[in-house]
Amino acid sequence: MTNHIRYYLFLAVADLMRLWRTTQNHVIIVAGICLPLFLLLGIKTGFIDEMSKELRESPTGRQITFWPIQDDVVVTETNLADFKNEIPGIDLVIPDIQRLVSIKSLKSENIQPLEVTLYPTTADDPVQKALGLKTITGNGQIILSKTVKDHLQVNPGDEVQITVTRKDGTVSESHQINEMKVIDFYDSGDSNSNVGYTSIEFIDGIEGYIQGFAYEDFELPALARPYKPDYEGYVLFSRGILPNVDLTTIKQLGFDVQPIQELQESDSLLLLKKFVEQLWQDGDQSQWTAYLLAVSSNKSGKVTYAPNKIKDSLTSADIHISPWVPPVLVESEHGVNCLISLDLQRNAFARKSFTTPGLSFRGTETNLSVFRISGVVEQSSVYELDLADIGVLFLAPVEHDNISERVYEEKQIPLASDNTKTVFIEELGDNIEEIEFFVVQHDLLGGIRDARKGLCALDKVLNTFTAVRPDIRYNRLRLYCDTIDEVPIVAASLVESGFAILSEKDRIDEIQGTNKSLGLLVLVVGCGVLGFGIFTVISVLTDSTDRKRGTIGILRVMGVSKSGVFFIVVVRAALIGIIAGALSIIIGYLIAASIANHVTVSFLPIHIGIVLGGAFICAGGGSLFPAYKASNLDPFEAILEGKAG
Amino acid sequence: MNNTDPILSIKQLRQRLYDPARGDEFVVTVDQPIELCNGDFAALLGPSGCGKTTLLTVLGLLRKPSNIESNEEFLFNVSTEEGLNQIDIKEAWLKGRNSLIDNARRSHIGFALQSGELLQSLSVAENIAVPLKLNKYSPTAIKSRVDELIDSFGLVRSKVNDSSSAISNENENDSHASDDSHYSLANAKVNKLSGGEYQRVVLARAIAHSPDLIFVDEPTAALNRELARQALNNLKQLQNEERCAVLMITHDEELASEFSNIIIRMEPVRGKPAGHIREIRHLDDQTARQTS
Repeated sequence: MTNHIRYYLFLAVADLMRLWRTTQNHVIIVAGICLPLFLLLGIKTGFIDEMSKELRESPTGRQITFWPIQDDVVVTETNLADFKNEIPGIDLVIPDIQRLVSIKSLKSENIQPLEVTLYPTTADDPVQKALGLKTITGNGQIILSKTVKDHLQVNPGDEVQITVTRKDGTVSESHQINEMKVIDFYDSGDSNSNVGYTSIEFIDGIEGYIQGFAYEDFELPALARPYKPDYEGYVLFSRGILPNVDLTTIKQLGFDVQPIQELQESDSLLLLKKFVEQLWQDGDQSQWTAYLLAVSSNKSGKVTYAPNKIKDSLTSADIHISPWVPPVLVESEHGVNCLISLDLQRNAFARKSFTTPGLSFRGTETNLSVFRISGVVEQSSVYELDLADIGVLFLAPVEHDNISERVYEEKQIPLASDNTKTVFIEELGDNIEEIEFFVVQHDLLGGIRDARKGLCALDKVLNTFTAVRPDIRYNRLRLYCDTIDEVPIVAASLVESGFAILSEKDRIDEIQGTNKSLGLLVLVVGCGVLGFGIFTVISVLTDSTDRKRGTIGILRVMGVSKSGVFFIVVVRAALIGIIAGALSIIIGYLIAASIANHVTVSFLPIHIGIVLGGAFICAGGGSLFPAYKASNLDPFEAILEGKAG
Repeated sequence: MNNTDPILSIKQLRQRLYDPARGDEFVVTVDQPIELCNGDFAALLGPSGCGKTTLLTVLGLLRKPSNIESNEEFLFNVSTEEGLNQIDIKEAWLKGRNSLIDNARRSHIGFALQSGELLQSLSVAENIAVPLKLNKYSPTAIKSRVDELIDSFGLVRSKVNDSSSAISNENENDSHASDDSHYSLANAKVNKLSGGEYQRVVLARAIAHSPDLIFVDEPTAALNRELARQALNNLKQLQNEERCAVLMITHDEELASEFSNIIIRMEPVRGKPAGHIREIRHLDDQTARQTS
């Protein structure tokens, strides 16, 4: 079968090439159909190219500047990469933020520092590419405008010093960054243009620094501002039992209120209960009642009322309120202890009922770097620890549910050391009675809790918890689409996602509208030409087949099958189509070159495909009927009629 | 089955043919058994319109007989690589085994038809090679066979007389390409051939794949008798070498008696649009040789 197909192919090619004088007419007809189509496509594309030339050549053509206009729409450094993937057609997204810094030349002390506005850029930034600048590949690199360069008298390769400044209230502090290398400069055309470009990471780092966070890459310290954790409620000491009216008021304020003596749910509540029991171990428990005011689960989870506000709302007079942060179990060289916080003034009436009324609940230092922890049971036991020592302590989970259902979080806070161990009340068993309590400040407990959630971290320099820098939120960004054709689609997606945009969308829409109209015109004309071409080819090939009846007849007589004849006729026609298509393309290019001064004709690879495909369909499709007719000829009749013809 | 079995054996056949020109049917009846054996050269004679060509289309498996059911016997005994093989044509037609019919026609029958077109796009050698290609001969075998046939049929031209006229070469059909003064027509275009050369190429193509049966239709139709005789001489010579049967349609009694050992005469049925076989006469081989 393969041999036959190869031979049929040979017969088709031989008929096509050796009887060229007959074939050439068919080729000319098909080429005559394809050439106008090819030129039409080229002229249309050339026209659109001319219209969009400026937009295509400038990066701004495919740029969209956008910013969120809805509260729930946030673009941060974390979701910036996802953002690109969520909307197809985006090539690059760059935050459109700026930071004012002071840049000083290291060449001479006589050159005054200059205030420069830094913008972020990336290695693929089309604006930088359009300017022909070197690409920013690292954090310590900077591109300066010519104005800045001239003022600082620096050249590419020189290092400059950047000074950044931040304020905390009325206090202002500055730090220097020395390792910034100038890699290039550009002429903005504006003599007052004190601007520069650097990496997004550097701008983000500076932004974090200004907000009070450390930027470790350049050893910029965090602001000496202790971390302020949220409380989870209050512990309320009341003389006697709170009246119902006060209980109702507390609930209305958003707290679940429960006497501490009745607590029995979780580690932290049991620890609180045990702690309060110890406070009153030998005191007058009948006069005072302790309550836990936990923020109601149906509230936001944050304490929204200050202790005095609660106190003022209640009818009871003798009330002391202390912030509540769940305690943590720790194991140290002193055994298993509990860190707990309580804040009662020395003159609080409740102290009178305590075993040791003079206990210090605050420590002796106000500075968080040093904590004085008092043993409650043995009032003489006083330990002095700093936060670094906490690292060797073992932390119990502070997030808990019912004992039977709780899920323990194995994650240790960053300051945990190698010998970490988690201790739970149930592991202590009966030894819970022997737990020692160390009263610490609320902020330490809250810090430990939030460090485990990743909200804060131990700053070893400041020896305190400091907030972890949150994701930088970008209020304005610029993106570049793959081509200007994607700009309207991307712009529409952005608007739908809650952003305001600034782009060349309207101009591009106009161009695309024109392109669409011309495309429709070409399509209609092309379909018409192709349809007409198919009919022409059917007619021509039918006539040609009739003339070859004798040849077809003798092939059939000698044993060529019907499908063989069909194959030969169709292949011959398809080859004619391909030759005609190629001829159209060559002539099309020649014509385009000859009229280049008057009309822009721009061919795309797809046009070649369309023309070759169209010619193939036109000739091949047009040959199906003649081929069918030829394959069904009676062999002997075909010879006789062919001879007569 | 043995070598003496006829290659073609047919008994009782009626072939109806609709004649669009006359608007009615024409019936050809084979009412006498026809048997063609190895080496037979049969001449089918008869006046125009008696159905000779119609009969040829049936015997040559170009058309299915219109009422094959009434046929008593239609057998081909052909030689294959495995030996002699009998093909029951009647059964093949009845069971619609068209591929078997096509294969039988392609492999075992050669045609040199009255209007047996050569393919204009192919050279002389390529035309002769067509049946060989279709029967999947190896390229070496094809070249060898084509060269042999070009030589046998004298498809050469004199270099000296070439420019004057192709016709002048027609009397030189016995010359061979080995002569330096001649050149082979193997690569010649068929539209450059003279009538005699053309006819010889047609005959060479008919016998190229060594068929068991060769049909020759009106060899004198396009040529004068002398040129036809020369071409048939070549065929006869090859037939004797390769052993096959030839059935030649002709009006020419003299040519028939000169080459044939069997004369099959057809005649029209008086008053009816029909033809039938009047007689089948076996001539003495010796007589035929003497006439020649």
